[in-house]
Amino acid sequence: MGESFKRTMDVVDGILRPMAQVWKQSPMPPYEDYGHLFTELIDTNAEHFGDIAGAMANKDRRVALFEFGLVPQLFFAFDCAPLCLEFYPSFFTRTNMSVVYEFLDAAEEAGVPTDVCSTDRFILGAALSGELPHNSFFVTSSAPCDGTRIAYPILHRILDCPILFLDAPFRYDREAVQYYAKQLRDDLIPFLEKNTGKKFDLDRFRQVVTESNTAYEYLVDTHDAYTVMPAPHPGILRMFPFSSFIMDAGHARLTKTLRILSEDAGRRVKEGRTQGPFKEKHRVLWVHVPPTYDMDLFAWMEEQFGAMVVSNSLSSTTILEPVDTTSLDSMLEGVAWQGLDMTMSLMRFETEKLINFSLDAYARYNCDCMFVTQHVGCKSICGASGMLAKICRKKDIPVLFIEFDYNDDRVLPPQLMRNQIEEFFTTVMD
Amino acid sequence: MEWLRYFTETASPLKNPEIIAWKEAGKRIIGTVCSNIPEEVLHAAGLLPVRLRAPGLHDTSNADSQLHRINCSYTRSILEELLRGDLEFLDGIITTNTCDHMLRLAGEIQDQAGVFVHYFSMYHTLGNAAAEWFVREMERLIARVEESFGVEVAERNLRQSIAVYNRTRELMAGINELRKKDPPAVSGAEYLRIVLSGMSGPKERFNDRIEALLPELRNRRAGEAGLPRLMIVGGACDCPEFIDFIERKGASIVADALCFGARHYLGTIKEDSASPLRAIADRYISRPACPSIIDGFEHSYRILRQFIQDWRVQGIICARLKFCDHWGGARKMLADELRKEGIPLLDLEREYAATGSGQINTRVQAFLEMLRG
Ligand code: SF4
Ligand code: SF4
Repeated sequence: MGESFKRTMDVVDGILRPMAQVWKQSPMPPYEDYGHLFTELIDTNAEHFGDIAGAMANKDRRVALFEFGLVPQLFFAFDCAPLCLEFYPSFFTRTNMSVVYEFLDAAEEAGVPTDVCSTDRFILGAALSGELPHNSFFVTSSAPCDGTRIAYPILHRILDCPILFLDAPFRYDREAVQYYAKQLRDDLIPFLEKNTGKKFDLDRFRQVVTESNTAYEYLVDTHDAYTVMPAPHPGILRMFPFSSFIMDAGHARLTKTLRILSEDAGRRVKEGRTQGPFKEKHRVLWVHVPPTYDMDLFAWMEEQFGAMVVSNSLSSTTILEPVDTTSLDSMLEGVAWQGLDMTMSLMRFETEKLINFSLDAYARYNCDCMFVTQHVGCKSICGASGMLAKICRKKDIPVLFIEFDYNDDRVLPPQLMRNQIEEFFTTVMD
Repeated sequence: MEWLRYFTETASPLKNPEIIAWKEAGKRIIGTVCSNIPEEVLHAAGLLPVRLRAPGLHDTSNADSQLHRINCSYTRSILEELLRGDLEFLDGIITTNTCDHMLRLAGEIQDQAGVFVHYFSMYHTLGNAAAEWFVREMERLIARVEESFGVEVAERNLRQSIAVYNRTRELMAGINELRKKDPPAVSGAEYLRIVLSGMSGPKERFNDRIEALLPELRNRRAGEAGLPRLMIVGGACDCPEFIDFIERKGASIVADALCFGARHYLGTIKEDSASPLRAIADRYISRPACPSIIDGFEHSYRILRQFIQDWRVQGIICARLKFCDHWGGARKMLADELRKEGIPLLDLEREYAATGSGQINTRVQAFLEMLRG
């Protein structure tokens, strides 16, 4: 067993903080013009993890481990430091792949089947290796998938910490949202009171939600900015705002970062300066999750084919309204909705709804082709492939299905993926 | 074995003589894809619920181009039957979201079935919230069935259906009791045929058959005494030939926690409850939870332990389908618990249609040798 959170903080101090400095002092070509944005995003990410390390050592605070299907406003209202486990693997895939292999191996050795999604195997491996932060509790909903539904009961047995399971409805109407919000009120708030030793403070919650509303408006503005052709920011920057929102919604550091991003995008649009270093020729909708280990892929696509990834499932939401702060119930309903209908929680959608959501995004962002991840552990996105292919044929949408593991570059090495992409652009799109 | 003939005939094929007769009488049949779908409600609407299976189907190539090879072979097999037109006798299908495979199967069925399709949205935790959700979903199902088929599901119909299903479950408990003997009164393969038969025709007729059968079975001995006593758990295991394959190696399968087994037949619905729907929900939530229920393991394991004790089970076989995450996870937790208790577990990964294989043969042999000491 390693020292809790040590590998994470080694990356924060040894890679993230120096990288932020590099982007600040001598931004890397060809994205010099966006250096301040990279600096801001990396710094916020580093602060986020630093805050978790701080909470581990503070007896008055707790680390809130949580999963998709939730957003962190309630945790911040109780002064906890939240860590969304679903994003945790990508923290290492971007920075230190050997840790990823090590954690995947640890899970497999403990008997977790290899065909389970690598995200869940990674999390279990991290727990078995003692990396997950201590002084924590854990809250998860039953969304988005089979992988999480089996990983978390196992995690509960590995981690000696309080846990709460919430039932995420697989319907999308108001009744379903209210059902979930009721669990936030009747189960989550008492759970947080018990495990933080603090009373729920409605005013504090409203303050946090109001803060997150400001951030949300910047998020939606950034989201909208990508509808402009050419897109005002490189595709790689599209990956981070939504994940940052799920990690930090309600914290001032996120609001600041999203403000800088959205103002920058807005300015470029207003001034007609949206053209990046490479001429935009194609606009790609990436359904599901692009690889998280090949951070140069988007730049390569932009340079080689003028192909800009303007949206993906991790950068998506079905809602574009801020949370109504009138009452506790209205706030809980809004927070429930955000948790349920953002990023990968969309995978619990019925196939038709998932496809319609993708088609809407395709039209909205003026895309001319679609990439669909066939993540080898995700029975949900793979199971939708037949209907997706059918609808793309019907609508004449050029589509590339790529089978890989978005956390594990051994399944489809980056070069082989690039070969597939190259073939697609040189044959289908040429 | 004359007594078994009715059960064998109705267990396979899916379109069995009972179904043909029902259809010829001008009545409607609804396919269900999962044991979480409350059949009682369909029964109360005068419909015949039939749990969809694909007996004897080995080629799923049409379905494979729609779903994906990492979707479990049960869901691909059901889709294959639909695509081949083998489910044309159905007047409707109830789909659900128990697992991701089911969720995507639901999408395909919605797209391809051409008959009444209703998506029954399942809960994934235990407790009061889930029970309330389940009641709401049943209300939605009733409303759609009433509207689509021009029927009425009155409270008295629901109460009658509950009584019929309770009777089935009570009778099946009677058969199960007889599996406690050594040797058991019915083999595991025979028992599975009875189980499947009960899901594939009118419950009232099935009840009559079991009622007549029970006294005959009381003094029956299926096979030799003293064989290793096994329990089988897992997902989508509905192949009597597979059970037979294991038993022929010299074992008795005396208990199960299968969807095609205990999970379908266990538990009684309170008949005098003020709300019949809530009573139905309570039964579904209190039976052994399927591993899709995120906090259901401890509850299920308690029930499983009781089985192990009461049926004097010496070893467990987990027959899970390839790519089934839920059973993959349950198998791990089960193995950890059983290890503590010194009860051996054999993990058999299989495809839905598999009746046995060289590899399964070797592993079962080795397991039984270990049990025999
Ligand atoms: S990729 Fe699919 S299986 Fe993996 S965590 Fe996301 S929704 Fe679940
Ligand atoms: S066997 Fe597993 S994967 Fe297949 S339908 Fe059942 S729970 Fe889903």
